[in-house]
Amino acid sequence: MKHWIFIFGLLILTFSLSSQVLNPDSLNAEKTFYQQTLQKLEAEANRGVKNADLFYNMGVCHFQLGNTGKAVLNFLRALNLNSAHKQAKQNLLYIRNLHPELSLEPTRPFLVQLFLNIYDFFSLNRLAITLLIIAILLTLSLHWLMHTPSGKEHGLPILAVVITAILFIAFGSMLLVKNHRYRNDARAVVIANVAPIYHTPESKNILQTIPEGSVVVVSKTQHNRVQVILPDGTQGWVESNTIERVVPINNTKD
Amino acid sequence: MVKKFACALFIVLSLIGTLKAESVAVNAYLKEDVITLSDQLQLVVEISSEKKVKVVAPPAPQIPGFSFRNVVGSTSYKYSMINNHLFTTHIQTFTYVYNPQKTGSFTIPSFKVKVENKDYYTPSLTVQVKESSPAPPPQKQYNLSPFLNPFGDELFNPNLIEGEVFLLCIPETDFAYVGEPVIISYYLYTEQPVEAFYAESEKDFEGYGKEVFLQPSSIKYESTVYNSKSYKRALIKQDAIFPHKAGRLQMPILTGQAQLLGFLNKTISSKPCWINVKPLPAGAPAGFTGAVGNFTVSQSVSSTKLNLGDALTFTINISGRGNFSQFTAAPFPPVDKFQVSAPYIQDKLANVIEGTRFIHYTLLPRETGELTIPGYTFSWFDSSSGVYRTFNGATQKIKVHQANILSYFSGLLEKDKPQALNPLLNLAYYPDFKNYSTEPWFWLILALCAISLIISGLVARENRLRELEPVAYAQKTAHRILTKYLRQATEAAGKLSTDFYPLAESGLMDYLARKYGVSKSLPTPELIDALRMKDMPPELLDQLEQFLLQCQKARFMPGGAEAEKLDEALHQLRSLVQALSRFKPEKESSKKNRVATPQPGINSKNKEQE
Repeated sequence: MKHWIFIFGLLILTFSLSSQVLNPDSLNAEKTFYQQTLQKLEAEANRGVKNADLFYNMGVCHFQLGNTGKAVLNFLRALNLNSAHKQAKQNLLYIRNLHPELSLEPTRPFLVQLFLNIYDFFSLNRLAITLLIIAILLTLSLHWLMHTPSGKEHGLPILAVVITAILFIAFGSMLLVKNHRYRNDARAVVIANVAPIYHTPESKNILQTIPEGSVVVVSKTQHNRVQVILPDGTQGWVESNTIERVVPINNTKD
Repeated sequence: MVKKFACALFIVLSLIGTLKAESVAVNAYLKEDVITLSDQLQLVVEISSEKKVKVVAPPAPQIPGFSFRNVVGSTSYKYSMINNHLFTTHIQTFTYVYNPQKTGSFTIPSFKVKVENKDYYTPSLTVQVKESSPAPPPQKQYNLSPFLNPFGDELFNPNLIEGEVFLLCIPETDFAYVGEPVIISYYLYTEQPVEAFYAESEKDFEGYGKEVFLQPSSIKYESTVYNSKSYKRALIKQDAIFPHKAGRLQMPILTGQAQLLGFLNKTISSKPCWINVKPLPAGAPAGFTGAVGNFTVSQSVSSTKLNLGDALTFTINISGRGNFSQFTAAPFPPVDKFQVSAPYIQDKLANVIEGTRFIHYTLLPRETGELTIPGYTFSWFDSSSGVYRTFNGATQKIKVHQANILSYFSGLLEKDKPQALNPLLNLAYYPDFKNYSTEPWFWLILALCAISLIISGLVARENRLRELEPVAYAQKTAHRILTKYLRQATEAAGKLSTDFYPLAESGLMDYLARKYGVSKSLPTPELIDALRMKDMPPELLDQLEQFLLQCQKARFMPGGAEAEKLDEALHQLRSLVQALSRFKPEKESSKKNRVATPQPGINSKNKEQE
């Protein structure tokens, strides 16, 4: 009888030990923390809340839990709402530097990068506010021009009108482009470990594979496969469940 | 009792075995991604798993511009200690050797590796082949041809086809501390030519973890003496051993096949060897995370001045020789005024035991002012002196300024090499994103701008008309006056009603009262006098007086109003209003000035009128 009690005790001890060894939650308190945080954040996101900081925090949690694809996806979603989100941008760069094989963004010449940084600095809402300020300035310049007596010099008000009009057109166009991109971002991220690329929607021959976290551009969907364009220009078809779009198709809420 | 215990242990181990999650990772990399025509390309496929899996060497992928030479397989184990739990990783490595045929950049396509009926894909890799240097140094290469003597005529007698062949395991030291890395070398000792050696397996024993330290790609012989006898020996492999148990530990036994001349294969195993492992002395410091070796430690911060909202990177630099794979970052000292990220560990190691480890933390200040970051503490056991050492970093003062408008632009010229992942943002509430450009107030402001422009444009047009075309302006103004003040009179004239006269008189008096500030109830002569005081031209005054008299006549005299003359009266009223709208009463100040400097022309005209 004692022997059986001893064996039973040994079994319980071993089960508790094995559960400690095998259960990642008890192994790593940080992992548990990120899992719990992610659950809360996903509940918010499932309620339909769209917030750049929410997506950013989801990206951080996914990265800490080893889901590079989901991390990239959420950082891109944060940047889609707020292109000036500094932390999301840095984390995306960090992942790119960590995984150079992921074609997230090509390395660009300094001036091009500077221009793109300025473009990113004007997020959708910053752009809207700037456009309003320029519109008011343009209105005042036009008032000035219209009410300048005919005998007086018109050069200065004309200059003010031309400058503000050019700025108004430039920022207005930028706002239109950003708004379009905000609603119809065609980018998608590979969330599976590896996404095989096929030549046609029905083909079984794999052209090449792309790793988790790669960013592709979706062009069309057919038979559970999606036609994608890789950053190097290669076109192919991937299984639709291996990628997730930055802006879901049914996303109509502003 | 022993049987039952063994039985229980067997059941428990079986349960653990079934419970344990299996995970396999397949990776491929190049030893060097830039080679010359005289070099060999080494493509390494590494399959790591938690338990030992049987893997057949995947077929060598075809690489354009390269000819396949050989594949070499080896097995190793990696032990790591996390939170006092020991983890074993089985690593099977296949090294594919290729010879480049031409220069250029070549892509090694992704290829399939089958592990336990599951397909894994390697990443595609790129290699660049350059021209050999003009005078390449003579290189001895491992030649697989059975008709060539790989050892050279100088070392071996080609007719010698008999003699001893054995493997020796030689540790670099006989004594080590727990955790201290020890390099063990496997040498092939031979008296007869051996063309190749294929390592098949390594038998491991308890008490240590290990990693491959060096895997030579070719066999290079040297002369040596062992037990007073001359041999040729070649290094087959070097392992780094990390003891985690004190006592006398037996080192792994390497088994492989030596390919002798004449296609004869001989299976040989290394002779047993041991090292003595001493336990770490008691009294380990509080922050000791298991680092054993000889290290130099330093700390640095990316910036000492920053704006609220900007992040700084705190970096710990650990350089030297030790068990890098066996220790982790010490916890960051408690700091309230910063939000601290999880550590990001970056290793730049020359091999598995030598190099530099960088531990990066990202810190976000929570408030402004001069904030203090306590020094980082890192402890390790110095195996050369046999004592614990502790690095206590200096306290860092950081000045955090309030973010200003310029700080919004601080990221525009930022380098794109962030050292660590930015941490979670500590937010309790996530408001839904509002796109300002779709909000009603955005369009309202734009509409207000547009409306103000329309109104301003109309006003400007009116002013320009008054300035450039006074006649047209007067007509337009008169029409407006008639519409505003004399609408009823005009309608009465249209109906040939004699009500025209009282309505016209009333409207006209109303207009004059509003424009010139005269009373509506003044009799006609006094009204004319009041308007004369406002310098209204005499012709206009006459015209006005006549029209008013005509109205009074029509009102008070029987038969004074004739319907036939209404058209003429309406015409008179129109011309009178046009003339009135052209006349602007002068301001009091200009009037005074004019009186002070009388102009002879005007005075004479006034006299004539009198």
